Amino acid sequence: MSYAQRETPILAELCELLVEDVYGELAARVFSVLARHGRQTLSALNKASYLNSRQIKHGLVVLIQQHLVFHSAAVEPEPASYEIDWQQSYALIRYGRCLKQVEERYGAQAANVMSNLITLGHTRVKDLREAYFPTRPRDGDESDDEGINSSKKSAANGSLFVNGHAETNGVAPAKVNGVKRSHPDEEEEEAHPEEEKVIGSVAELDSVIYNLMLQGWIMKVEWNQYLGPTDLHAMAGSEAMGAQPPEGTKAKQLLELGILSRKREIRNEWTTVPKPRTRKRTAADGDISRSNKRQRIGGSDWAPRGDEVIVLDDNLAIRVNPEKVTVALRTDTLVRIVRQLIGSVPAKVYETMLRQIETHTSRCYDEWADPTPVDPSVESNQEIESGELVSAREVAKNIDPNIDLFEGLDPHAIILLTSSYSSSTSSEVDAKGVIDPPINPFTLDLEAKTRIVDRHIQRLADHPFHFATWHSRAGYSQWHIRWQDLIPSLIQHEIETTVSAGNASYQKFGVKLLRALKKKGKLDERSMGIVLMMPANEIRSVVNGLTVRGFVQTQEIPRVERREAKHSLHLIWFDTQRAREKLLQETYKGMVRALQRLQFEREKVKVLLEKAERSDVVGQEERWLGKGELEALRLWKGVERKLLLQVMRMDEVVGVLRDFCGPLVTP
Amino acid sequence: MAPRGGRGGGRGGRGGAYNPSRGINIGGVELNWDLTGLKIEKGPSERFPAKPPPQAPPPTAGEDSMVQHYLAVRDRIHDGPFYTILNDGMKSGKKRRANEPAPIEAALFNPFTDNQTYTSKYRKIRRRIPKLDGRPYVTDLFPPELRSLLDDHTTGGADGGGPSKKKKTLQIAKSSGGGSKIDTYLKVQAERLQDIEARAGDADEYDEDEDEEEEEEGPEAIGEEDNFSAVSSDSEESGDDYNAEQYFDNGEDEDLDDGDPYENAYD
Repeated sequence: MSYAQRETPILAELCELLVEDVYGELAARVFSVLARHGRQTLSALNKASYLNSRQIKHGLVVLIQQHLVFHSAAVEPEPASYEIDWQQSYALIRYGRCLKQVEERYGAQAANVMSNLITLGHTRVKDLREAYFPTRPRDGDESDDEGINSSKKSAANGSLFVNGHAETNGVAPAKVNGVKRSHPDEEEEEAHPEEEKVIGSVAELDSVIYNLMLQGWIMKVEWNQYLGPTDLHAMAGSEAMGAQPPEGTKAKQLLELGILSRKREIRNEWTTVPKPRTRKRTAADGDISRSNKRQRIGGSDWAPRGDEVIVLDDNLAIRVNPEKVTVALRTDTLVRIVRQLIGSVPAKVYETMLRQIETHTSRCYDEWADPTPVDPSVESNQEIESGELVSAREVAKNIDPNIDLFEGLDPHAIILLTSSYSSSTSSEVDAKGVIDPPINPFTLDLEAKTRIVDRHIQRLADHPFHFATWHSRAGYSQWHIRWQDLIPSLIQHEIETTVSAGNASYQKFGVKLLRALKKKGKLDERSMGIVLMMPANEIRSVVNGLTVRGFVQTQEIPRVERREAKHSLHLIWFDTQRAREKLLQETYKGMVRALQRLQFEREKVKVLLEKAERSDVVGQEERWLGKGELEALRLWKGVERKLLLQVMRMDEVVGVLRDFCGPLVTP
Repeated sequence: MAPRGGRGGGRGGRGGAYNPSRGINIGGVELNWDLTGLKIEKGPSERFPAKPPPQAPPPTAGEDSMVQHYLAVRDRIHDGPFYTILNDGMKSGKKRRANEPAPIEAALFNPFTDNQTYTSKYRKIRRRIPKLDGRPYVTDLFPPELRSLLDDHTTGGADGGGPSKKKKTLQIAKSSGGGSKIDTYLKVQAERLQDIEARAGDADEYDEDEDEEEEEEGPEAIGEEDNFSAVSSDSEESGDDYNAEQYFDNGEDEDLDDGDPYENAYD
């Protein structure tokens, strides 16, 4: 079974809570049956549950629409079996994170499209257009314009929910017309410049979606995305196999490789962006900051010309790409760690670097990569793709110009790096370490800026974690990131942080012990004392505690025939993968506890919440709720925020421990 | 670092542990440390000193917006057609054990809050079954056995089969901002008023269809559930305009008398 798809009881509990929190009780009940019993057909589900078949079917539809469940209908329609998609179910907690990431990177409009996609599960482009810009089924073009404008007016006036029913009662109109007839409402935008910019036209919507697809945040929905890992494997196997099953080890190995490459093909097909049609841009489309977007597209070999707008295929079904969210999470986590360990300016530099790489990275690690060659020299010779390389000059160009790049650098170095280019009158450093005459960090030319940025990247590279690795001299200096080394260090860092957060003796000796064991391998008590340079009995309690917590493994090897404890070797060792999984399970447990606490706290204020959402109270809380009740509501909101915040922080730990690299196999 | 006071004095009988002129006396040994200005505790130490639990650091701006977005999306999903509250007293969807009877209605009834009053009509109605026919689907992606639920006979299909009463539209939000809930309430209410007037007729017919469907299948579980009060909810969402319309349409005139005002309410 695939590594990411393994399910554990505590994860099942966590996902159940999440599904219930987001999609309500019915979906969660059906989910819980599937979690308990594994892959099931509909009739087996009926048997295993107290729900009636209508409820189960409805629950399944909800789960399928939101991609929380795989089904095998495409390969074995009668009867189809259902299976939980654990990755996606866990990813429910990342909804907020995903939106924040998109908003940071591409602005509020993109975040709005994403939030709708998240709410809807997946959707066809035409339905999304229809929802954004409801059209009236009439013949005259003018009347349609009115329809669009009026609906937009209501949106701009501040109504959050688009109510399609009120405006549309009839057959779906021709979709192409809707595209052609779109008009941005210029007066509207002028009238409300301070409001959050909403998507103003179909062309704009299409271009936002297309841009997100190019960046990998939105992907196509295909029927084979609904196949569980086993079904997908079987399908890829039958496609790769050909006429007869292979014979002999060699042929079987080849088949394995063939299956892997077939799976990769299938997966890459999901994220390829279909080339959209374009049409001439009309005056009505307005300026949707196209130049800006074209620049950002960057890596793509095709981009619409300035006088064209994109028209996506109507029947294209799209959804959020969960793997991209993980990639962005990796960026955010690394930037946070760099900020903690090195400083805020290098963190900014690093953020710029990583975001540039992000565009070309579709996933953190390839689950279906070809097995790595045993000979390490082959691996080091592998070509690094150009998308994974970042030069200092690119960073200098793209970095936020309002950052004081000199911060954290030695003033002498600054003078050296800037002097030859900036001016003939060279500055000097006085006794207090102040540069005189001062150099303005915001008016540097690109060359000097590049050198300064390069110095910051060097600081990143010099850190024991090796956040960056030098590659070549292109663009002043070109860097890449060796994920295969960096991520295990992060995991180790996370484990050490956890161990050192214990009591005083863990703080003192726990991390020391872990590091010694990691370096030396298996040790018995005597050699442990020698390695740590301290008496064994001092460290014994720490070993004991860490063993109980599952971070340190023990082994007993008899030296004589009778397996006497006295005559046996008692070895201890540290295994990163085991410790990682242990910590991951504990993190899940922590999240479960936080969510349970949330449920409990909600139960305490249940009556009040019911009152607060009564239709006569809503919006007039001050009038109908007492002072104490308002205070309690505020308290509850604070509690909810705090608990969710903790859950999201733990989610970051889960990202580090689970999502950024595959299983660490010690040779 | 600083020794707890009192020991030296007790042992040597020389009075105070610390005398600046003589230096410090620990365990009978005089030490010439200058500890001027340092306050040394002489009393017995507290056995269980108060140790406040570690506090999580306050959220950064990014984390704050993350939580905001999560809450906003969740609230929208709760207001959407998929969110359900069964309120049937069960913890999971697994089959009951033989010796574990189904929770009876009386056990689930809270005499303090569940009594029907006139103002109960303002309470928020929660679905007990997702409303699937209000939006278009990519039907091909669903298994054949579930497709019948998606293209409902009451509507003509989004692709324009015949004239349909109601077009299927996705419910979307045009602004992703996590505005406070109270703001949204106000807007929703204004919109609701318009909508009620706009399409009173539609909903009535629609409800009848639903009810027939429910009566057809009659396993025991449904019968029980139908009597449960539907008004409970353990979440704090905003007004579900969708539901409430349905409610107002047929709620006031007929239902309040016959004991279960939620009979015709949405499920």
